[in-house]
Amino acid sequence: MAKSKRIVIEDEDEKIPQEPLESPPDHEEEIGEQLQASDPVKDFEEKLAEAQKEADENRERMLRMAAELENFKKRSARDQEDLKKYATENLIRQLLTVVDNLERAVDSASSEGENEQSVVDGVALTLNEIMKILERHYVKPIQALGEPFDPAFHQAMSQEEKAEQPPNTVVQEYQKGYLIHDRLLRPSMVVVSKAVSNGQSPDNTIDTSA
Amino acid sequence: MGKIIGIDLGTTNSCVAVMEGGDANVITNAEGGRTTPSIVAVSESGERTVGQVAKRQAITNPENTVFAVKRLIGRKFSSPEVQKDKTILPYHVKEAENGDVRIDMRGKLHSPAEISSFILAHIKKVRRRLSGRDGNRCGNHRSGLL
Repeated sequence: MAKSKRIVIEDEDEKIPQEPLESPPDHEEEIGEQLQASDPVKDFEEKLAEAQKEADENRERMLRMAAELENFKKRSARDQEDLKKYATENLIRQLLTVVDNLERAVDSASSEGENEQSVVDGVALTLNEIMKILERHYVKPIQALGEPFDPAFHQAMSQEEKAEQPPNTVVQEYQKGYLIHDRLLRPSMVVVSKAVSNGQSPDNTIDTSA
Repeated sequence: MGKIIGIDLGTTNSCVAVMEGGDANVITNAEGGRTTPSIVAVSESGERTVGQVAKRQAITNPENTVFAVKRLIGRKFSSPEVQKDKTILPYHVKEAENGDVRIDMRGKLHSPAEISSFILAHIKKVRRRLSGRDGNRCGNHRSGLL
């Protein structure tokens, strides 16, 4: 307790605006205590040296931390670069077998005496294979045809008046859409139905807009 | 301390970046894109969509899909720019009582600044999901002609 009071007085010159706030009532008492203290100058110097040491340590630590952060940033940028560069490696390796099969198909199709059906079968098999690979990489085709138009998955390319379909239904698909994991890889390119204007349907079918 | 974010509210696309470790990093949207179309739409059911999704349904809903709204901010309805835009824009541009521009989306009138705020709110939502916090200090850079 006495020690802290002494500090208040020692700092008087530097902390003039704060001094009255700290303890103005027992000011005289403190002066009395100060006289009894061993050596205020020495004490002050000790405190200063201590504070200086602490400041140096903090500075040192701050610099080390900053350098560490800089290194971390560089390393993570390099890691990300590598990851990007080789992320497709696994997928490409699997696709190479598809390439092999297509090459064989082209070879056999151009050679004499090969019947068309076997070429078609071969290509169908290869397509199947590539779809399996995509599925393994969490790529899924989007069901669009006949579904209600949903801009979260479908891209409207044009509209067509359709009496036999409720409005806002996908009536044609130009290009299939795909999902990868839970993210849209590519939206389906679709034609969307709309209600027939002035009630005249182009082909006389029953209105199912309900 | 909140993170510092910067928003480019563009005429056609908008983009958000956040300061991280002394560098500005662009935040990707829900679909992984670095920019989000500055488009707002209201569907037949009254549901409001913003960004990519609004863009994809544009052709089915041209009268209620608002784009390039930044061009109208701060302009009077009677100004030559607005009068010219009015002839080419598919959405309904109307005049407010004080002569400002209002956009009619399914019977509700919105100011161009309000439409822009929908875009900002959408981006903010996506950003909050990613960074897990709300940015207090926010720089806003608007490019292009204003």
